Amino acid sequence: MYKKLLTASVVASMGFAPLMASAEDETALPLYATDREPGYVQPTADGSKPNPVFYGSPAKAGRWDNGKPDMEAEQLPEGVTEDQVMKAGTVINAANFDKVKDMYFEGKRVGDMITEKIEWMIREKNLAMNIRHSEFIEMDEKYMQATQDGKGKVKFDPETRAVSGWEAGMFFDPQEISMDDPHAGDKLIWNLRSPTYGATMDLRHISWVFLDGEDGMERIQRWWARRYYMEGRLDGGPLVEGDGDIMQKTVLVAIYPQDIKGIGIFSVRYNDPTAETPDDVWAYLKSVRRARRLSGNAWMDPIGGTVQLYDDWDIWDAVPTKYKDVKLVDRRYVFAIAHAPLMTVDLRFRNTIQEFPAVGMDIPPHYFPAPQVQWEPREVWVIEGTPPDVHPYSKKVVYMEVDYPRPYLGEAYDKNGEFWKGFIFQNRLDVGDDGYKALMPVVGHIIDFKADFATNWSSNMKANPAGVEETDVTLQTLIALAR
Amino acid sequence: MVMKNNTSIKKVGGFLLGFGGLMAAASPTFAADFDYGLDDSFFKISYNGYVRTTVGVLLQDSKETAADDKWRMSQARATVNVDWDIKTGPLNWRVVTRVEEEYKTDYLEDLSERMDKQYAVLNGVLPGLDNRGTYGRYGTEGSFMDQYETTDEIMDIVREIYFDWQITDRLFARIGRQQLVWGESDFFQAMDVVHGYDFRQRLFYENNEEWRKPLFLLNFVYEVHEWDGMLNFYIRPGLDRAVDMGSNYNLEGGRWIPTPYRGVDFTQVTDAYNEDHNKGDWDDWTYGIRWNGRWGSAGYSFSYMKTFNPQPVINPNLNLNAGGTLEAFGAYYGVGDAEDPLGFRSIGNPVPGQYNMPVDKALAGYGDGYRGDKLLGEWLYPEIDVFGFTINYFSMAMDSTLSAEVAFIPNKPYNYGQLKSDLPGWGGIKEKDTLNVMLRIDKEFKWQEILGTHRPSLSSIQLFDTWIINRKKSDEIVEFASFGEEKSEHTVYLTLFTLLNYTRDTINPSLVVGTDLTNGGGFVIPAVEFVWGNDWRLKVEADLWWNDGDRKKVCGKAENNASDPSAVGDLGVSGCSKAVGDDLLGVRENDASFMDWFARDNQLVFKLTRQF
Repeated sequence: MYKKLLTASVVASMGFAPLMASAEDETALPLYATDREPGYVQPTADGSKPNPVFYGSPAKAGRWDNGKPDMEAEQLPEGVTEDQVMKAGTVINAANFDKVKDMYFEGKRVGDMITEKIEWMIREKNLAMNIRHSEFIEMDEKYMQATQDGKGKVKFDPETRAVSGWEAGMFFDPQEISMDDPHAGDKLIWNLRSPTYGATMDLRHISWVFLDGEDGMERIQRWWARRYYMEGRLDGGPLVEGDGDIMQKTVLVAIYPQDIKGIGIFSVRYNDPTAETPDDVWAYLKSVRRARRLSGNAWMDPIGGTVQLYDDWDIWDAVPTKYKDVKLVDRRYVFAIAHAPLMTVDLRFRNTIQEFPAVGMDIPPHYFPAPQVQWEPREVWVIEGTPPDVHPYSKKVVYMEVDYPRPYLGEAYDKNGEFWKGFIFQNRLDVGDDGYKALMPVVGHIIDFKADFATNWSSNMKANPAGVEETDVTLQTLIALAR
Repeated sequence: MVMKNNTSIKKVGGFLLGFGGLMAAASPTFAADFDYGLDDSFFKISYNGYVRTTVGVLLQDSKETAADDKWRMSQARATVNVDWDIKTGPLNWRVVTRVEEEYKTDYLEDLSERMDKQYAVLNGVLPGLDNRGTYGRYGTEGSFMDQYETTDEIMDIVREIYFDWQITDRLFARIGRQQLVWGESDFFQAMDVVHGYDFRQRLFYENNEEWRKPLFLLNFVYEVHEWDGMLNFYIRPGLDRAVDMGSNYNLEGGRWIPTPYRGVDFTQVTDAYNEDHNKGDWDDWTYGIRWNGRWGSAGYSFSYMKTFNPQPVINPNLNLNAGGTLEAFGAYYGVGDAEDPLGFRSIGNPVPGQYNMPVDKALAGYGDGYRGDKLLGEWLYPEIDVFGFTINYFSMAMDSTLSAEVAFIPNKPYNYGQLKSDLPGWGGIKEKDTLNVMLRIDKEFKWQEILGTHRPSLSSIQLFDTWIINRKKSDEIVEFASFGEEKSEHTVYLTLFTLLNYTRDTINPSLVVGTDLTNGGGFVIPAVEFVWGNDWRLKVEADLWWNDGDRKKVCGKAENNASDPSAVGDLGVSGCSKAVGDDLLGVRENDASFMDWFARDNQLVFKLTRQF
């Protein structure tokens, strides 16, 4: 049933209504976005050109015009011939990397769209990238308009690096951020504070899979999770709920395996521009049947037994003031996953690798995206952060969409400056029950290369689920669910 | 186990089915579920659970037996637990089922033989006969192993059965047999006194989840979002079985009764338990109400509870003489307002001019059954009132979580008196206002660099004080009947634990330490849990005690235990001078405090679990 609803809400809203006409046999339905015809380009909401106020003119982040390439992006450099163009559908791997790296795709040299660490993964770790054409992805107009409306209200204090006056949308219009701005990194990471997920987010069927580089799947943890944003809400109701003190509330409850089932967390994150106010966190422990207060300062600690830090949620979770320094180091194109499968947790196949169709668990080293998941050129900001000394990392790098705060790739370095973890996040558009167009990660590959071990999470994310109110994300919700 | 009051299954089952069916038809809203509201089917069922085997191995010789018990198995147990989640329309049901089976180890065999001899002597029959049918004659009747095979009837197997019902957006109900916990304290019970615990399996080493005795409750939560909190109130309408009352302290003389009473079955000479006493009638409704809220970043709660004292107290029986007069073994408790000018509730007081309660009034206190002519006493769980307050707060400055709990219990019952006897504390029951205070600090230590752990180590230090207000030396209050050390005005325990996590939480060592700051002694529990995939878990644990040598000792020579089954009059421990103590009750002493009770109880425990 859940699959039918997923398919109905997401596929239909993305222009696939005809597919639903004979939806009696669920298994016959194309489940994944990658089942589309090669070269398919997602139209904008009304098929018109992207709003230049929001995305510039011409729009850069992906092609938009019904399959016809953005002329500027597709233009081949002088001296490059058509036979040097890499075809969509090419799988870049260690065997062909040296051949394709000097070829061109959407007018850009392939090797220039592959980061140093991704190249290392291809050459040394058996990463294969199934390449597709880019598509323009339109963030919800309300979000983009709120960004425009907030101009002049949002203040950045260079002394404290804190911001004030934000209400909704992005803190700063990325179109106005330049490489020369010494605070550009801070501003772009502040934009991450205004998530693209929508006002409410169900992390449906979220599971962490523990994957050993040699032995594959080690174990699974399944959770129930829901997050409710108390500010910056763009669902038609008030922008702010409550008195404005709280940023978001989250309930997270373990449901598998049996020894953690019933353990859960209720957390409150405060709306503090200085980020000095710790989170309020309660854990419900089944073994003692009560909620116990936890540390609110766990932002740089691992999430349970995973190799992912709380700070690695969406690759980068902390506000910039938590870091010693955040700087913008580049604006470039990378291959990234922006059209992930519509279903990334398939509960028909519990406890098998088929449960997670977007992860190639049957292909060593078991933790990279599955072959049918496609990568496409995205223009990104490259932002580098220096965490505080007590943080496990010495440096974190994130590759984030230029038009809105959507991280695609990341890197974390240990205290010796050596590459430690790689982050590959699969993202896609989700249309909320209220029609809100939200961009969200649906699979996070968090790979500890020193341990050759990954803890990948996958979720059938849902933006703005119908009927969910603030009072549905409370300590009592946790207590009622954690049983 | 033979039930003393086996009526609750019909009451509970009937109530749940009737009430549940009514609510299923009437409910306007759905309770929270794991399907995010996607599954609109009326009926759905799923299950999960585990199969577990637990083996305990003694690390020291137990003086109650003749054999050298070191490396003997004290426990060999198999458990099958299945948790059911059932959805019927708007109701989400939870059913926890469990079946357990224990193997009678050689060590337990020796303990039961000692009991057989006890029975033979007390009843003037030849030892060596199979007396096991008389085990626990006035308690959990049956065989010795019945104290461990606690899932042989339906309401044991169905540990919990309740449904959740979201009556309105704000009002949530959980109806049925369940566990409800209030309070903040670890290890100790301040506000966590809705339920009793079964300490017979492994004393207090198990997860509370495993040993807490579920009860039938009508449990409601009303959320008051405007005040950032919720009102929780519950009623226990008295539908529970008699055996569900209070905590079981292994009075049957099994492996976790304190030394030197292993193999001494107190239920052969006492009523364990009297659930119908007018001071603690299990049929009475009990209830509680709690406000649980947040004030800024602080969590807090206020609560009141009417419940039963979690520890049993012995009420020494009156002996009804042939002439119709009562002879007091001690001061009988529980006959209304009968209190003499000296503050004692007494009957048959031999001192002229002092209070002498009429016989009929005194007997009325026994409730349904007077057995004073047969038994030395009865174990009661008197009703108490508990007023509680808790607060918790995360301090950024200390990078620590601070918690506190205060529970005030007016007129909490204690045993007292007769300290210089074989049965200290059997002088009667005295009520004293008591304040439990807990202070705790939790901190996550970042020991990854030093110890190579995967993540910060949750560590906790807790102080727990039991303050008997206006306690006087002359009160002669004891911790537990049969142990003669007087309880101090303050009894303070310090506990700490730390949990280490290695290789992504697949190897998890832990350390728990507790000490009695008032009386000395303590325990240390090093353990390690191994996690293999989704299904297999292994926990190896050492339960170790230290004490100051004041333990209460076996009277006589342990080597003589059970050495000669035909020796009538020898209770298995010969060579005991009556001036020193009693064959069964041990050497008289008045210095053994709580931690001393478990001297020589060091053991290893292995738990292998297969989850599904």
